[in-house]
Amino acid sequence: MSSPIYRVIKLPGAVKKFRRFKDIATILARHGFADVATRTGVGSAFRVARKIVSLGYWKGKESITTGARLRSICEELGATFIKFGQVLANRPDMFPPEVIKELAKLQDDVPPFPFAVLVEIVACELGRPVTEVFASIDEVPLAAASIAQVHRARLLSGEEVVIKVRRPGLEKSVREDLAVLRDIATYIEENFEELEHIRPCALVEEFARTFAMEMDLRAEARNIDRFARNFADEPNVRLPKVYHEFCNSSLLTMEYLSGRKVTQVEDWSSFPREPEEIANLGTKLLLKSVFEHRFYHADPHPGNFLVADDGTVCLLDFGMVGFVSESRMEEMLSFMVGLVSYDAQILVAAILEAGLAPATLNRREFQRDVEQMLNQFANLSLEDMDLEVLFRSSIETIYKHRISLPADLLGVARAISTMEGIARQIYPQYNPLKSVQPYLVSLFVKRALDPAHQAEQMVDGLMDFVGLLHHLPRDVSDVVKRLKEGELLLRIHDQSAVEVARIEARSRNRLVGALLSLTGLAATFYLHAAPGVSDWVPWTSFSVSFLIAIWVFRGLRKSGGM
Amino acid sequence: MSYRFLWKQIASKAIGSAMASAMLSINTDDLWERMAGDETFSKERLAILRQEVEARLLEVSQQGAKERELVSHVASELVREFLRRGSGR
Repeated sequence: MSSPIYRVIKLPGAVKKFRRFKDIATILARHGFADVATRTGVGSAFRVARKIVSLGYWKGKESITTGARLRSICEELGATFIKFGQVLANRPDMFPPEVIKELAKLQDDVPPFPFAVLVEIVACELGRPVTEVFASIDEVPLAAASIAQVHRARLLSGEEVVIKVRRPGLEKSVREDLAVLRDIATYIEENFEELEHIRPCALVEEFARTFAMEMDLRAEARNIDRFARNFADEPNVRLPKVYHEFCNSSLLTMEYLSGRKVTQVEDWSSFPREPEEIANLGTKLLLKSVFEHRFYHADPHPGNFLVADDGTVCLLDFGMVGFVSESRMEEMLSFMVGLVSYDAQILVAAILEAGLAPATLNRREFQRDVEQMLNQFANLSLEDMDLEVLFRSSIETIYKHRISLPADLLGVARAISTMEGIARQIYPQYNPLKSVQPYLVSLFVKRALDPAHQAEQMVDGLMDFVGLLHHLPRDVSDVVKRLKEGELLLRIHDQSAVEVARIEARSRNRLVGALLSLTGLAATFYLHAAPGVSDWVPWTSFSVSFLIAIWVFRGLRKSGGM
Repeated sequence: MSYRFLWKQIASKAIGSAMASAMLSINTDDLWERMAGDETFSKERLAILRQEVEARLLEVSQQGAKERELVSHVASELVREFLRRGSGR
């Protein structure tokens, strides 16, 4: 029996959180998750879930899939949950394909906030009237999303710019929602063993970190600068110039780049480049940024790629970026090479090294499943090969064995597969493996044959070993000494013992409650009969005793003791 | 800068340089030929890859030459000292 969720609600802000939990319970129940609401205790605490179920609101909606219902829940709960849903959509190793498919549909297009508010925010952020900086600002936004709104503008110096302004009040609402999400994650981690592989707390923390970065527009300005430096020697790529003097955490001013969305170009004859060239360029840029710069655009959807009249590719929107650590790069490369070379051994080793495999994993069965999955693709020619299907199949195999992969590895896989989709839209005959496979295998060979890299790893290992040898005699002597003195402490975490202790504590509390209640009742009679005591004293004593008695009886009924 | 970091730098460069020169001195034609011929690499692409790998080997070998010299000098001194003391007993 799990404890109710309100036990994990942390201070401060408990009252606000209770209100939000009530909203969540209502929405969960309305979308057919009354059982979840009741199981978590949210429903029973607020008497919401049962009421909604009894009203029959849910009737007739049984045919709607779980994924679709989850999507609706995120949409109803607002910006933070929409973003969270989008993050979950990138975790095919954790959720079934039908849920992923639905969550991927989540759009954070929201109605724009009024232009007058925008002008006020910009003036406040600049610390002076907008007319002292901008000659004009378009009233109609270019885009309005859950985090920020984008408007075209012109500086007094005449330069065409784009201003990105963060939504008012966003920080506060996100902070509150994140606090609620953290409580929910803690609750799930403690009470739902079947969801252990999802690691909810880590998932929410990762989300909170990336979301905070996305909300800080200064971070986006830095990202643009870093990309511009990384691609400084690439003449076919353009990035917007950032006007740092007009930027802060809520305002980003950057150069306006004109061009057409790469997927909306119908007639390529007016461009100096062939569509195949653009498709290859996009893939090359992404691979280079992941595996060479280790800093990549994590949201490469078609709207973020423009093609200018001179054929250069303009990259936009750097709110979502990914970083790849040196060690992770190694694992990613092995994963990708194993995948595109259909080498089950490399792939299995990379997955097990990078991922978190459950203790119950049957390695041989996993290897056999991976081999079977790769065999389906090994006989296809490069022309028939679909990288996205290959990714999806491998993730399905990983999901089947309950292995959770690191978010950054999946982020790269998703970015590459999205880029493949874009490239295919630009040039339908495009074959990603023709460019992806040789690039990855070349990089793999180069790194494997790089003596500097190998030597560094060798020396690292050697130094760790020397460090271990250095401390070993002292550690051993310390353990022996404690053993001799009888001070060696062993900590064994036994879940059943914890549960028994919890039940014991609860019983103890109830016993104390019952005694208090009886004492209170006895005191009531005594005080009632005693002369010179005001009437409210025995009544208060009676009320308190009565409430404690109810609490004890409820507890006994719940635990089946009555 | 900590001594640990300094030693790591010197040892890595020295070992890397020694490995690079050893790899440059052996004949790897067979190895490269075996890699050619599948769908992944055309002969031209493989030739470019080989060129890049060999250029990197040469670069690493030259970059760590001083460190290699230093480490081999220290190692030979240590061995000589060890032998001298051993023979003196």
